[in-house]
Amino acid sequence: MDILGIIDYTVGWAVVAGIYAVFSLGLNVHWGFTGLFNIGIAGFFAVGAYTSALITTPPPKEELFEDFIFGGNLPELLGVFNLGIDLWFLLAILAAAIAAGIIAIPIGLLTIRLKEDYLAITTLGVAEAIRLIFLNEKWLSNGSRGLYNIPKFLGDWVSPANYNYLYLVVIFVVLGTLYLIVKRAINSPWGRVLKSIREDEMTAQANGKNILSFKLQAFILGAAIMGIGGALYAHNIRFISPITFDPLYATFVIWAMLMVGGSGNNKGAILGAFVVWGIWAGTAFLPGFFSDPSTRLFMIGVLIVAAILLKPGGIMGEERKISENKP
Amino acid sequence: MDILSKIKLLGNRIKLTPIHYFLLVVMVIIILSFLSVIKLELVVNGLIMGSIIAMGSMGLTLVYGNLKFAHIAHGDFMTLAAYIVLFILMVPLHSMGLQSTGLGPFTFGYPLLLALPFAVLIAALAAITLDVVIYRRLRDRGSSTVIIAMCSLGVAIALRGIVQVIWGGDIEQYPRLSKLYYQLPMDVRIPPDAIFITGVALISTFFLHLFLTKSKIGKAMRATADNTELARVTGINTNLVTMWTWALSAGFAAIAGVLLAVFQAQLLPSMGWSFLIPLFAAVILGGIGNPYGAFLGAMIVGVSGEVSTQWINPSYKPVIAFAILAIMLLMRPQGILGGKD
Amino acid sequence: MNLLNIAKITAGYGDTEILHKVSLNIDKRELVTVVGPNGSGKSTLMKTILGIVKPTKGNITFQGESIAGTPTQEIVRNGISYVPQAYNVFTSLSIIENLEMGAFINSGDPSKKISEVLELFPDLVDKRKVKAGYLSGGQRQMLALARALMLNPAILLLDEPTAGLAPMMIEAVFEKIQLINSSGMAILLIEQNAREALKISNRAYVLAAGHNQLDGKGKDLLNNPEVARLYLGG
Repeated sequence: MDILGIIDYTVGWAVVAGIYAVFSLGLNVHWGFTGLFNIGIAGFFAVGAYTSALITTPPPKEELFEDFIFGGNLPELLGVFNLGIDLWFLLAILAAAIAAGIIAIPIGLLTIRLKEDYLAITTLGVAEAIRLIFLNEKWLSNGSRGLYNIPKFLGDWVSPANYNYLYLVVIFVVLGTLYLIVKRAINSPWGRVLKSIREDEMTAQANGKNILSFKLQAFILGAAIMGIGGALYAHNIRFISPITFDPLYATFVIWAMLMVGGSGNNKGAILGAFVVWGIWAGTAFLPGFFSDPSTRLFMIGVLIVAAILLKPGGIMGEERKISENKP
Repeated sequence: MDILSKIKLLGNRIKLTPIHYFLLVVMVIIILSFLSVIKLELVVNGLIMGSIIAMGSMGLTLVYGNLKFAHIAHGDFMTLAAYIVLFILMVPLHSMGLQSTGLGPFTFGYPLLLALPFAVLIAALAAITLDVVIYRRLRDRGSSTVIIAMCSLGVAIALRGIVQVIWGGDIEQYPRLSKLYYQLPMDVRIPPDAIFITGVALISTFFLHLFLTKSKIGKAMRATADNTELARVTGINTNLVTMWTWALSAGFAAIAGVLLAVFQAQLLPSMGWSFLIPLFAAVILGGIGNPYGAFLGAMIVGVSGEVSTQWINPSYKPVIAFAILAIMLLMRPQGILGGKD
Repeated sequence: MNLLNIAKITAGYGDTEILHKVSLNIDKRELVTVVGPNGSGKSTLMKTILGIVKPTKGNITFQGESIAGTPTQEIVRNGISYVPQAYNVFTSLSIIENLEMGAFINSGDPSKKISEVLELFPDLVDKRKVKAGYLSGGQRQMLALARALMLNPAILLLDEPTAGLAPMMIEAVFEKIQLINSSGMAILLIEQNAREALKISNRAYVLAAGHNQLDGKGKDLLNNPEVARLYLGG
């Protein structure tokens, strides 16, 4: 039992959990604060990841790409690496956020007017469409071959063996910043209008608030956060392809995290990420079939059902108004 | 979408019946294929696909109409049933020596027909159990339909997990005997099992029609979908109606899953989940709660998907169904046949 | 012993209390009307009797037994039928199918009872196979009444049966109600057309803001100037 080995493993685990916490935060903006049942998280995840990767990754070797136009030019074209100590990272994250936010606009215009369950199915379709685009439009994303050698932020500062510690700090800084931003937004006058919409849409509308506009803004905000998560993810695993954004890892697990941790509550969202990812990693050590990834699929499903049945507010939840005895 | 309402008004004035609309559509399709605008073969294959979608969408719309929520686990019920049949074929029936394939013109053997009713029954029981254990508790609590839909997302994931744990993620296949496609006139080729698939779909739809119009519980189901509160106050046993709704819905989903596995000649744990968008598109097209609409919607989705491959990369077929879904939701959420709110 | 006795019922939705200690009773063969302004809780009262709304205080007894908290289906089975104010027929079902649904609780063939009931509503007979959604407002109201009769209830609860109907239809509906009452069925009626309703009622209650205000014989309330001023309109 090597203590250093355990710490190493834990840090690696924490990096991923922290990245997921970012996603959970974004989903909380969607569902917890705006009531948008978004099961297309994978779409924003992918857009953020690909955007960040595309503007920072040098073109793959000849044999490894077909018809791939973008990566061949973008980092050079944008002079991304001329910015001094790895400031390209900030640029990449920003670009990911903006790309995801921009994509959110037409998607939002399409879906926000819909009733919640229609919204869910539509976001599902959108995520699938995005996946298909990244898979088939090889000039854009190198298709199924994916993008390799996504650079490490500040990769030269520490040895590869210790890099995770550095990245963990990066993650926490980003997570902390986003947490503060969301908190600020929710407590602002804008956030209060959002809350009033969530509680009583008709009254808010009677007060002259443009419901659609507020919901769309919240949708964009949440999407941008998810885009940032995608970028962080891409620079962590350093290789992405359409398969990376499998619904289990890119949508379902995040829903489980939010439901377990507490929707409507930012701290809960973050906590949920660590709890669920903890369970995920923990089961890898269990004997036999418990560590099977398929079992974890089953477990995520059960977690979601259990969270809803047993503790609808999650661990830290603000009880979302579930029951309304309508006359 | 006033175009549709205007068409309906015009149709009512000149006393057009559904038969007239049907013949009109058939004529248009034949003309278009003669003019080589569309390939008839794609239309025919679209109808076959539509039959499979219809089995799924009719069940889905029953649940949506009676229980008022989007049953996201519906696709995975299809998957589960398909794999249950696989199990029955490979294990008990195999050990009994019943392994034949190639029944008549079809690729599968009669053991499939023996296994199918079991899968239907198990699916129905599973659905009823899940309702009693999970969804009814949420309904009694007064949970919103979104929360219930979200819970069904969890169920969907768990079901797929079970399938993957037991069978793994690799492609499976029912024991089959390869058969040639049939060559029909007008350059149309259809897969050998096409007649079975469309036949089963038509018979099942007819059975559903009889059930809904002639049986007491069938009428009660229609009444409950029409006006749930009034149904309760009239004295209709809403728990019984719920049970039957789940049984029918899951049973049809089971058949859909098996038909899909036969048609695609493969089983994958994600097969049902991937089918959700076409299913919901068909349901919305036809008007939520309307099984006849779901059937019609399924045909439209199926044919559109196939015909689109003439002009669009076939990999984007799922996007066609999604586009139909999105357009309907934005322009006419009550569907083509839906007339009420 | 009253057929139906509502004793000091407090009930509402969620945190909102609508009925405050409301009492009411009705005996066999009686036609009792509840009048009062909009929002006074009349509909809520009926829903409470039926078990759709659960009372927080007070008791309801039917034929001597307490029914507070009993599930709706059982209450209907025990002999209380209800016609809601709006959406009171299954629009996508035919007249006959609507009536069949009325008899759902009973096993066996409903056709005989359907014929019996249709005798009271001859206008519906030649439209039996028509979907209820295609009927006129008045015909729908008649169908709603007919449906409620399918189980031979001991009490019929009618929530504003003449709402939105043309004057001729209103008369026809009141006639039907009297006819049904004269055959021995107790009827509890909520009405906005209070004047007409009081004319045919044995007794009546006035409900306002969820409280009992007045009660007495139908004719007495009709001639009571206070009632006339406050609740019967000009």
